[in-house]
Amino acid sequence: MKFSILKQVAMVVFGGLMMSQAGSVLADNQGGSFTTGLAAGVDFYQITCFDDGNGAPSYAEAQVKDMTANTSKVNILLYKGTACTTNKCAQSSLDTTDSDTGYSPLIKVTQGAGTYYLFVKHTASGTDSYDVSAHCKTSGNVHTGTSFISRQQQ
Amino acid sequence: MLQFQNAKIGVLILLMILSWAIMGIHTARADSMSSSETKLMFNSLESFQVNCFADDSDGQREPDLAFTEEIVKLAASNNPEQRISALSQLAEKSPIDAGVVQKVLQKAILDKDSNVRGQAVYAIAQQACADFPILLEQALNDSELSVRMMAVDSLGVDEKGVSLLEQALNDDEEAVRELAAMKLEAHKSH
Repeated sequence: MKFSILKQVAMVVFGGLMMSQAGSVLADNQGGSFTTGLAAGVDFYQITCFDDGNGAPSYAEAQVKDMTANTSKVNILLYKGTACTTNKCAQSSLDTTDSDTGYSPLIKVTQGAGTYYLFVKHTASGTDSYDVSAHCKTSGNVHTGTSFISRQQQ
Repeated sequence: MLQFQNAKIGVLILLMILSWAIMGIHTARADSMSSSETKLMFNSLESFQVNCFADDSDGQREPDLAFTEEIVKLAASNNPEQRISALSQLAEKSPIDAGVVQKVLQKAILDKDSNVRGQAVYAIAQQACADFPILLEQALNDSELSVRMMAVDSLGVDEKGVSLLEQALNDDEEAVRELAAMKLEAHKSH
């Protein structure tokens, strides 16, 4: 009897821990900032596209919102692969208006499942903060497995 | 007896996991606190009186009540990102009552978050509020990088602005020096 109660408690605790971990890893939005303020600052993320049961990934799409109004504007470069003739391997997008709540134009790189590289830069010195939205989708435009990993923050 | 022993071990393991999780959260909080506590911080703008009652002779639009409500709500948020969002939107001429702008900006230059104060400096300069050159001069002496960066970004290239940009070339932070040098270079090349 006691053992069964313990099992239930354990399931709740572990379940909660697992869910909190999954939430931070699988979120499709990634906030960041250029804390050094230097113009040459580059933030670097890996976005992994995988089949989470919704279907095989066909492409990754991304856009960025510059959340700091100043001279410097935030832009992103999304990149994967080297076979770039049929489909582009790299696309970039700049949020030209940082005094609003809108994102930059949406860009797509169609290179299937696997790891995409996302670089966030800004056009001049400034303590810019930003929010990147990225999603992996199937060829039928259904959202599928997407995970963000931060590799470099400047 | 054996079952009771197993139950005790199970409880101990659970307690250990929970204490690790709690210690992890506390350690993270302690790290963020210690990094901010080691610096001597001061708000250079504390005594500044914002005066943004610009004349409306330039045909400014009628206040938009929904927009005003949105800005006031964002400016009062507990989330600094939302407060910055409000100030970012005030960096342009907006369909909002001058009295509301005045209140939002006055509160923002006293904000505990330096990024919010920095964004307020930029908004005040963009709105060309009275005495904003004095504000920029004061902001250049702020302890926080984000405030000084916004001050340099907002400086014009008139005689006073150039003088302050030259002063910023001696800032402790490379980013401030870099931005000041870039602006002076752009000014000289024109």
